[in-house]
Amino acid sequence: MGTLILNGKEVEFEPGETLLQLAWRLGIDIPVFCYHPQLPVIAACRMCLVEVEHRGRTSLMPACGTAAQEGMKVSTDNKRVREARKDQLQFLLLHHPLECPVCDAGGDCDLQNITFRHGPTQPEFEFPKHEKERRSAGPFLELYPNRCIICYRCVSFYRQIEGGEDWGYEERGTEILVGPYRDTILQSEFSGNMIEVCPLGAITGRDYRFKIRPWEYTVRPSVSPHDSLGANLKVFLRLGTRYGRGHMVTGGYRGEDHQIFRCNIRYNPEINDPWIDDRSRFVHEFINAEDRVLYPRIFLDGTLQDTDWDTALHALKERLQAIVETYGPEAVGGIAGGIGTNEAALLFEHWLRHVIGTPHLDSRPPNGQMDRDPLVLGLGFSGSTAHQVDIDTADLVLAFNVQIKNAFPVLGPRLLRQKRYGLSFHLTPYADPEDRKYFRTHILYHPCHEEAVTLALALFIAQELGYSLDGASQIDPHQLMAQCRVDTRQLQTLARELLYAGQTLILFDDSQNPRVIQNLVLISVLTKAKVLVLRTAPNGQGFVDQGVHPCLTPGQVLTSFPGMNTDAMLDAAEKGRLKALILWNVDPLKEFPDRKRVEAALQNLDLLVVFEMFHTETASMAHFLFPVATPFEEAGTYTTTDGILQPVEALLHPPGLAKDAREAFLAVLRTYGIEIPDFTQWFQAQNPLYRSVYPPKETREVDRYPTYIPSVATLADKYTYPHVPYRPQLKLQKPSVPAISEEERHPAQWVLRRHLYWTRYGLRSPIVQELLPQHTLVFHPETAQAVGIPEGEGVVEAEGHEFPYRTDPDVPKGLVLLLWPPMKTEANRLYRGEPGVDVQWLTKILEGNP
Amino acid sequence: MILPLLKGLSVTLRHFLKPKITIQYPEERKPLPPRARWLHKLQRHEDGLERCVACMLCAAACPTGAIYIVGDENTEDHRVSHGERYAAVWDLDLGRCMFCGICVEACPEEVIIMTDEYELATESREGLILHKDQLTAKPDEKPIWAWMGYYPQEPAQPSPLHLPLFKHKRYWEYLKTRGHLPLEATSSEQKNDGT
Ligand code: SF4
Ligand code: SF4
Ligand code: SF4
Ligand code: FES
Repeated sequence: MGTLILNGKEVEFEPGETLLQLAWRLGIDIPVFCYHPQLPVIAACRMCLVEVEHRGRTSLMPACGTAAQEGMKVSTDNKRVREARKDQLQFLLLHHPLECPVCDAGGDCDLQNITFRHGPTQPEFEFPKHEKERRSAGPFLELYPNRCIICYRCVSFYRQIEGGEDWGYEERGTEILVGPYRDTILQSEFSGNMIEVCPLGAITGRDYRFKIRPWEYTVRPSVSPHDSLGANLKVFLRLGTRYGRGHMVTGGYRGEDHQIFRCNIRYNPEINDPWIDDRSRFVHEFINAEDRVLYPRIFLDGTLQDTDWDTALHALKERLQAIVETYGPEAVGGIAGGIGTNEAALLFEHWLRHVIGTPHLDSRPPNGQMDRDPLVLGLGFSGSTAHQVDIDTADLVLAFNVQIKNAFPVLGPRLLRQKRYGLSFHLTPYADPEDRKYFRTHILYHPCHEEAVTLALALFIAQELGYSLDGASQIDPHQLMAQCRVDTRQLQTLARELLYAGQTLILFDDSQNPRVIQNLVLISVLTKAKVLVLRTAPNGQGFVDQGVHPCLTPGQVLTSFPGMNTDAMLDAAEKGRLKALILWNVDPLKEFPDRKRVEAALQNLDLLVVFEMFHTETASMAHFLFPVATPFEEAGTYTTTDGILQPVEALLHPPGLAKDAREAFLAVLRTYGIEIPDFTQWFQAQNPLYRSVYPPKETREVDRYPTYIPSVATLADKYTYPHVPYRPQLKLQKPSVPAISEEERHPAQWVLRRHLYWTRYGLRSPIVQELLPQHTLVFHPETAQAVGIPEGEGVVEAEGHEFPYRTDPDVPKGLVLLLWPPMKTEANRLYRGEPGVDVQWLTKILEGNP
Repeated sequence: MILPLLKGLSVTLRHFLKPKITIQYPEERKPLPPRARWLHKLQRHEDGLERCVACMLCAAACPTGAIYIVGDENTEDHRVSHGERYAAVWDLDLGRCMFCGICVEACPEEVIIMTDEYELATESREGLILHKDQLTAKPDEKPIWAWMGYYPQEPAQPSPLHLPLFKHKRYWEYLKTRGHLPLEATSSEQKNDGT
């Protein structure tokens, strides 16, 4: 705390405050280019010059880089400062092309605004301007070096926040060029942020370029629909949509552009900070995918026929009732993909569990036969005990076999920040080069030994604490470790660090085998670590909270009639015990392992009902197909993986007869004569967990024009799970010694790799097509040798299908990386949900490579 | 009794003998004043490429929101205008347009002029929405460089902003096409030959 004189007035400053922060706090305008509140001070542009009188000397100082000091006399607006600003702008504009009408930034450009307010009226530079060529950087960015004023903001962002290395400046003086070093695709999956970081139009985004101008759009808040972390977005729509100037009087022709022009960052310190990943930013064209389902279809007389909702729903009700009468309600099952709003999920649950009366419904990926949710067994509820922000303050982060860059990119900057001062471990069978920067230490184990390695870790910790685990006293952790070929010393270090580090956090995703999750929960309970469960489905947590779960009803109340999970339902369908299956935004043929089993199960059904946004392969088998809205067209709430409830609104009308899933399920219930007059009340009554936070506050501040000064938005609404005290005596199922028989020791093991754009939305977005991976399989060149296929690239045939492969010496021998989920590739013909590769051509390695 | 009748008929007769002021409208047209503001025309460059760069300033300036533009990027194979961007869609809703001519003033590329084409009635509301192909000049049509803000006679003190245009030869050509070029101007055409 000290005082200084600012513009003739005595003001107090906080310790460590810069003059700029002080002035902004007091509402005094100082123009800046290079300063960004979320980046380190660069002090390159000299736009923020102020006059400072201190210790008898008066000089112009950059306000952004000068710390406030006792006794300073600062003037932000005298003649000298104004002249300095004018001259500085004159310099910045020396080689700047005056092409605002064709520049993408025109209208929301800091250079325009600041020149307008402070600048010279006439350029005084009479000579030809220096010209530099336009460049592209990957499929997203287009650079105009002519316009760049060399403020280094983008460089600073790329290096400090993203940890990227392939962006910077070359040459010096007028020749200076800011951009990627090579003309290749940028490594970073955060590159799109530079469009917003750049104070002017030197970096432009390909999705938005030239299509529209800043005064034409409407900005609405939304939430990224791509992953369960729920990054906050501002969505740019055209005026004339339902938020714009209204429909045109003449026949509503401008009624609606079914288009999202771009997605920008909405600041939310609890989730994405001010950065979003490129998937959230650029993948939005899927709303106009060619294969959108537009009309309800029913299977009649051997063909699928388009019809309307009423007819289809009444026919559906009759078919379902017939099945329930003949086989009982237990012959009906429901699988949701975890894509949709909480409201729709609750209605779906209500329809299945209460109206039809079946306990079989699930929204989690198929990952093994375990009746109970291991999270419920260990923690008392199915969810995380930590929030994303807890990563920032964690002294130790243990990630178990997760992919950050390709599955949960928003966590990246947080993990990088945590890594600077804390410990971070990644326990994984394969240290992906793309993910290496996020963790300090990677501890490798032999794949398919997830259960063994987690149990070994748990046993170590128990030993260290002097506990003995129920039913596991016979197990020797060293032997387990030898089995999974993990470095004993590393694992022991990890065990001790977990016990003795202050705040620890365990990170894993819900596609792990339930037994593995159980062991991880056990570890967290023993070490008092917090758990952050990353749901692979975008609204996975919300669906579990709404009771789309075999053993939890809405609000995570344990049910006394647990039903079958996804795996069990498929089995039951295959055996003919399940007669009708209702699928919602899930494509088992293309997303679940073991295609043969899925095919058999689906073909065995009497009735397949699909609620889908796209014409997927499964949808083509449906007896009833209903079109539902995609994200950005649906209204309701999403829950992030760590339990933050966020509202979204319908920004566009769904095309054709497609309906918001919530409306669709309301219509379904209406056919049964169920009316819900007050939805909010009904929701609160149904879901006790959300009662206090539902509905979340609707109005979030979104500024009309994007600004780089983050106005601290209202923090997201949060709910907390009922507090469960940590206790070492566990109700967990007995840890069993994982049987690793010789038979199971396959010579090669699958490692499932996700890809950022290999998702149902990414595959349908033209802009990311060139980034999509070309190879389904990646393995070591020696593996190729062993099975007698050429190194490099090629295709292998298996199960009557061809799969493109690539060899990569970085992949450990004995591992086969498989692009997952299969989506276009049908790779689930190869992968059957078991870790060992048992495809014939690959099993040959057995002979060549013991 | 007969007198008022004759009086009335004399008026009729007088008008019958006067030169008639009606014209045979569809066949014959009255020349419109040069600043008549009717249907917009989107001009082309001499080489036939479109002038519009899709800056959307006209749409921003339009008080009724009658102009709707979607920009896009020129490619090697598909070149529509000179620079990088062109208007993929340039729609004008005549149901909204009030022919104020502000878009013409806003345009930095002098794309829009307003013609004397005033027969704009259609049979449907959709027909009132004119698209780019209906509005753009024919590829071989000569561009006209100026339209608003000029009188046939040079004003005593032209605004400095407009002066360069005034000097432009094609402006005078344009006025000639309209048949409104006064004599003084014809002589000044030779003087102001510069581009
Ligand atoms: S960067 Fe800004 S000042 Fe420069 S041309 Fe673009 S809009 Fe105009
Ligand atoms: S590209 Fe933009 S952000 Fe990067 S240095 Fe140039 S002006 Fe600054
Ligand atoms: S103002 Fe002119 S150049 Fe810009 S969009 Fe309109 S017609 Fe095209
Ligand atoms: S903002 Fe201070 S030098 Fe750029």
